[in-house]
Amino acid sequence: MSQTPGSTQLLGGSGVAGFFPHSSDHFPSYRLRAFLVLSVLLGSANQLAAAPALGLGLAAIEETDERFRPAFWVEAIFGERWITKLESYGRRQAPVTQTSHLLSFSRQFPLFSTLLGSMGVALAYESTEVQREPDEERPKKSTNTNLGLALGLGWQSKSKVFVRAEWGSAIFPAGTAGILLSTSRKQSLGLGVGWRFK
Amino acid sequence: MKKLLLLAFLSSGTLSTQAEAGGVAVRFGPPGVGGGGPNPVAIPPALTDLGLSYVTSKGLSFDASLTALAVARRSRVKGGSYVSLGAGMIFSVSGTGFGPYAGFGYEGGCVSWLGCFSAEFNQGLGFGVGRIISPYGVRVGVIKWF
Repeated sequence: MSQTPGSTQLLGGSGVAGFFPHSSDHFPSYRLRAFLVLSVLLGSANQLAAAPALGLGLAAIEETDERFRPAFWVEAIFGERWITKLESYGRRQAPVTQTSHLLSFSRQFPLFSTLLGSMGVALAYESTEVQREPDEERPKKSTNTNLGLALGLGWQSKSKVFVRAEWGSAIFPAGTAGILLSTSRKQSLGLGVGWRFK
Repeated sequence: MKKLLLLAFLSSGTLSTQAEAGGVAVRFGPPGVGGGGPNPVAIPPALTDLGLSYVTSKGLSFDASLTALAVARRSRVKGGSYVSLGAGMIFSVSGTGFGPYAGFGYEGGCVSWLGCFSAEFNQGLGFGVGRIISPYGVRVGVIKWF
């Protein structure tokens, strides 16, 4: 029984593990993508009449190795039910730059009076870039994507300017071991503030 | 002292009421105990893949597995999807801690003599000395209600 690879590899974009093909050469930079996603979130929140709310905050994200990484998150909540959330984190340790984004779409529901539960889907995008010498033939960048299940527990105050705390997890199938119930998880402990527009 | 005895008596009464009926669940799946990802489940499943639960008729779930010894309250007692939240002792390769324990599950597809299909994802946050551990497990199996 062999150990499955680490979570970064579990989100592999090639073969069975990834739901989407490699696309590093043709995609714009992650900053541009993040900006586009944020723009859509902000624009949607302003357009929808279903009592939208926006929130942002900080989180600690863990990737099955019990090391918590600092992250930031932004989310849009529609009608107190539907949540679109983006979490971003990464690190730069020359010559390697790693970035990860988790985009989730969830349905929120009341649970145990003041607590909230949420279930939905999560899309992970990870990129690892290595600065190499110009004559090196090895690839400079690799990207991984995967689609999984988003589950969360949280609490949110009821005021117009609200505080939100969440304990969430995104579970992803782990490549060819998926049939054997092997999974990868990204766990997030988040705290932030938000604003209800109505 | 009398108050303590009275409290213990009342507590035992509550527990015995809750223990009158319930369900027993046996689920298998690889635990993620902080080692960088779970191994695939063994064939046949090893004891480390085993998760046992006793669920009372009030929706109180007593769970035992490699990742946790915990008690949690379920949002729905029987059938369908549910969320559970509680606390207990949490275990991982990094150590042991005490903290919150949560689960997301589904029950359905009952066969009278065998029980119902049961799948559950659960995770815990264990606060130990100088560290936080956070194992999880995704397990499937059966639950038999009595």
